[in-house]
Amino acid sequence: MSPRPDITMDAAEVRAFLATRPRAVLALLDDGAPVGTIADITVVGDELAVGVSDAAARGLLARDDRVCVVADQFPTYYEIRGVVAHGRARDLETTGDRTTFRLSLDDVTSFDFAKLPREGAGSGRAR
Amino acid sequence: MSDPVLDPDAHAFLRSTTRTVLLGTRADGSPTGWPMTGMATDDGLEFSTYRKSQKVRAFERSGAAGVVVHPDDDRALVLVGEVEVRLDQHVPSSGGAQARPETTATGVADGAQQRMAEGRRIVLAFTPTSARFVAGLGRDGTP
Repeated sequence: MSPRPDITMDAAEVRAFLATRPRAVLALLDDGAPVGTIADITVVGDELAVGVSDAAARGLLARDDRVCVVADQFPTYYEIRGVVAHGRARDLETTGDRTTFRLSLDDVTSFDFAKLPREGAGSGRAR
Repeated sequence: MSDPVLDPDAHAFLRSTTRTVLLGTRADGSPTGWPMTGMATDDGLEFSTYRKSQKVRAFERSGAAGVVVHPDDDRALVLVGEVEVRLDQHVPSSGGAQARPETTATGVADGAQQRMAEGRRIVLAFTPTSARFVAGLGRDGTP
């Protein structure tokens, strides 16, 4: 059995990919159960700046700061890429109906299917 | 009779795409997520995954789950519910043929079908208990 290929991104690749995704899925906790929403994201140095307008999600964030951001793309099979960042929301600020926070990028999983060895005869283009 | 969790609009939205993020919790209780191909059923969604995957272990610890259905659209559907780990179901109810049809490379889909047949993949069945729409990713993730 051949070893599994390493398809993870390095830190620079993670930041570069996240910089292309203006929005992502944000996971929060509601009494310990996971709940999602959509959030705006911006890479600032080694962190993510996250903005949330969804009122229900903002309420959850105020009660439990443990979060996860999931950003992915899938134009074709071998262009599938994704980043999952875990941590605690830091520097929470609420202005009007919008809450922003910072999330460090030191607990991240990632995948880049371009690093997979090509399987079969296909080009990987969409079908 | 109680109101259905998924109204006709939510059902149609669910069937319009396979692009989802499945949400669960890690061993320390913090939230995590996995981009997944979600296959709509009459009751919710099914996901095909490796029996030995991290997400199977996560949902064996706790079935509490969320799903965000997010085509590149101005809406996304936020679901909260429970995942049942079906170790004895290797092929999604739909047959699994629609797994990421828009992106699957030649040879990859055949390999996934073979691993289902070999029992190396199992089904996670998600049943929602609540559903609501939120502002989506926008076309190609652009607001």
